[in-house]
Amino acid sequence: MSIVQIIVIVSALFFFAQVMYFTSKNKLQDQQAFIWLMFASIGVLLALFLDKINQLAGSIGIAYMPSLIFVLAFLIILNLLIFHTISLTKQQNKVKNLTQELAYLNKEIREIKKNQLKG
Amino acid sequence: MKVLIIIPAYNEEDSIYDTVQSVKASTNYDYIVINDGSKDRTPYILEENGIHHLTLPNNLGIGGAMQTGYKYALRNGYDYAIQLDADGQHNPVDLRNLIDEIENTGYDMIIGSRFVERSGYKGSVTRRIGIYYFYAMLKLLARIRITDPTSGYRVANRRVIAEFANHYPIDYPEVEVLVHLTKKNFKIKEIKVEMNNRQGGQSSITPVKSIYYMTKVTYFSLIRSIF
Repeated sequence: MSIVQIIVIVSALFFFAQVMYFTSKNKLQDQQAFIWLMFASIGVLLALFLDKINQLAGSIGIAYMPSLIFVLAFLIILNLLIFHTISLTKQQNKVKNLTQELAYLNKEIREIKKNQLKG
Repeated sequence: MKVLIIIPAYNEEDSIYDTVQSVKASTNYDYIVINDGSKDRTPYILEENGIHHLTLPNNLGIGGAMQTGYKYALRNGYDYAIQLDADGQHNPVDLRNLIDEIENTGYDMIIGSRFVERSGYKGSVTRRIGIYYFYAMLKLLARIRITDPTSGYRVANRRVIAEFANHYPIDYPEVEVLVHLTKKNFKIKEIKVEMNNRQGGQSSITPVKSIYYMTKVTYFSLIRSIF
């Protein structure tokens, strides 16, 4: 095993541990935790089978293996960003609805108080 | 027949009192001011003068504020809801005409237009170019002729109120909703109104924002007209 591969495996394992740590602290939840678990696992697998990927890259005509990794990583990260923007939009909508509801309830309370003072 | 005038207000301390007074003076319709998280004295003015209002704890932007009004109209069983801007540009004298028109014609939405006939309104050249651009876009995408598509002075019936309570864009909603409504077979028409020059506040549109405005509205209009 080359020094490079050892460094890659250690980094991947470190990332995996990081994901587990954040999950245990409830900083990553449910779907989000699952997605990062997948990424961390893929990272570790890639690190373990570095030479297989080298072969795969060669067989589909990519001379420089890291560029295959970069392309894949880029595509995956792009998708992840869209996924995050979608969940951000959902949150925005929820906050908007709650804000509107709060304004409505606020008015109701003001009116009830006013009526109580009168009666 | 129940009519609600929705007055969205964000930092309108200079003009909100006068706007509400002129609405009260010229009609008997119900009104509600939507205070969109103003940071100036607007909430105090509303409270001190016993003006009907909803106060949003956060600033939601014009779309979120207007939607609050439509939701309020839907819950309280209003037949028609009219948007009236707080900066004094919309003349309450035209309210009656807008209501009469929607009642008598059975259209789903009537827009108060500055350009159906020649009116006293004079906007800057860039503003006029923008308005013409949206006019042409609506003609192409929605096949409707709306000479003043950015006008916020508009009345909606109960079906449109329900539609808006369900979905309303956050920013620059005016043009986009016209494409959306036409796609869903709502009928829209314009009548002439007079618009005043603004009493207070300033136009929120800077050059950078206007590029965002045009691009965003065009993109969403395309999406709404295709899907």
